[in-house]
Amino acid sequence: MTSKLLAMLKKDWDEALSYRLAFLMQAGGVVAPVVAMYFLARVFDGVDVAGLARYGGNYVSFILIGIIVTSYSGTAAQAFSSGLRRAQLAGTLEVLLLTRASLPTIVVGWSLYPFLRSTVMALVYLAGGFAILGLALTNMDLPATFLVFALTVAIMASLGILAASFTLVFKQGDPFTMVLLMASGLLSGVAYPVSVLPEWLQAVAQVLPQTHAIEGMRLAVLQGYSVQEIAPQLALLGIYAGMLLPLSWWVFSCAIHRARADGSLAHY
Amino acid sequence: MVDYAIQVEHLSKAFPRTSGYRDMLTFWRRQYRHALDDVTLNIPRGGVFGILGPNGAGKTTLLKVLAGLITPDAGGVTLEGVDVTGDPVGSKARLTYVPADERTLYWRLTGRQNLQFFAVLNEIPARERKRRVAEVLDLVGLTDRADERVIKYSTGMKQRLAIARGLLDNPGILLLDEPTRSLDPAAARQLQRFIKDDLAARLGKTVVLATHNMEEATNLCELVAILHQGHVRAWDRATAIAERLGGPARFAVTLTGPTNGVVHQLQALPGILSASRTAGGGAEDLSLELTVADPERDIPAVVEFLVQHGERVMRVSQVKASLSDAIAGMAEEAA
Repeated sequence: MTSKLLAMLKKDWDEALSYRLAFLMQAGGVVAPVVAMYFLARVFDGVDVAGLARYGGNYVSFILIGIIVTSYSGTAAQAFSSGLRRAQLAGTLEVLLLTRASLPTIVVGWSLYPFLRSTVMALVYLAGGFAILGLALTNMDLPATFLVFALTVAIMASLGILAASFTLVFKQGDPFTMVLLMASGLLSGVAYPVSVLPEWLQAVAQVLPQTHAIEGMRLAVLQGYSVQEIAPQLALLGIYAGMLLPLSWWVFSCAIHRARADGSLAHY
Repeated sequence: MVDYAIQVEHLSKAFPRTSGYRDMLTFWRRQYRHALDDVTLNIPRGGVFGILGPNGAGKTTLLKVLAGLITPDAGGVTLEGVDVTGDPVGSKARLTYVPADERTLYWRLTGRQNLQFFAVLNEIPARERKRRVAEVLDLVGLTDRADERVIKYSTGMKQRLAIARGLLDNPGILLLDEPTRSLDPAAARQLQRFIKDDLAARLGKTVVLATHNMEEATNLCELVAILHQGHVRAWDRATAIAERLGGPARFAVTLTGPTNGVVHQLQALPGILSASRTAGGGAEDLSLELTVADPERDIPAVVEFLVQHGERVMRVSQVKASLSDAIAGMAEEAA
């Protein structure tokens, strides 16, 4: 399975590299936010922002973690359906399904390159944050950080697989993931603490898994909270992941079965 | 006992007719179109076999069911003894499907990169991969162009690369869906020779070819199945099908010298279904094509009639029915 996944990653890498201008622009797009962040840091330098004390008080560190988690969440939520859509449009879906690669291998394979891109972006943000924006990673609790990260990716990947199921049956990008990502961007505390929202919106924010992912990640990375200390966030994320992962896989299997039955695998 | 590569038993597949949102919402009263209707076919091992029919006859659906890409409603398929629905993994190893669409390759990658990618997905061991890719490139004559991007390939080269991809793990059965559809005549002939001489004769593969090209089916295929509106109307040698389904017997009659305007009178004779002038013959000749109901009774009567009217009959010969006639006959029958 590993060699097949690596082959899919290499294929996507080679394809991306063949679009030279787009590739360079993507690379430039990773650096640009760090520069913007630098100027943002100068604006907030020495300013005591209300509601950030829980996260160490540094706004740039606060927003950087929010952006990294949001970026990974977006990748996980969209990689599967966009991989499927690309295969439908390119006409390669049927020939991929005819190979000896299993369905889970193909689906995971579609997400590897987008995850690689998000990882590179996160590393550039962290390195830039560390080198020029004063981001302190010395407090970071690694086990807690890893657990929040893994559960967040599992939840968002489940939503992504549900989106791919929608794409398989209805041949269009699914609107629900888009709405969820937009709501998460507004309400999950990416750029401002959830506490500044009106109370009724705070209640809505608590339903969104990304709110707990960003909160847990900030506490683990910036404040060094241990697994026990962020147990409430981990428990909620675990419940979401435990429900969504099997559900999404079952729905995707049904969607494949339906597409095979109505002969629409190659349709787009 | 005949050794069958593919056995198709009572296969049926219907697709819902949906033309708009209203049809989607009223799914309980949905109507169905039968793409395959009780298809039974036993295809021997080794050789080229044709699935012939007009567009919409069910050819692609049949190939996709054989490949396991479409689930049948009823019936079963066995590939070299392996049940397609019961053992999808085992059946995958026995066949390859080359779709009609040339966009099944990664156009931004080179031919070699495409094959290397699919070699990994088809579990060809790492130590053999490079050699196997080189072999299939050589087999389809693309070694010299292997390191160019597929986007620069001609349609014929893309088709050959798609076949090379299918040959990577050396399956016994190849399903080719209209492989010459987008090719110019020279490229089509080259690919047809490759299919017949290399894939079938030299490598011993069982090639199932879906086509609506009568000439291709006649020249390439040992046996041809005529598929029409989801039914197999015939499964035999192309010439035998043409004779059986080619419609009423047709005869070419050549008269020489001045004629007395007998064509119109011939049409009035009993048993003559049609009579028309055709091109051909010398400047002094008149060529006619007659369609008759009963050749043994009607042709002697025609000759006698012509002689009685002072015509000089030079030649009478039967026009061989072609697969085109068979298909046209079926279409007329259905209409």
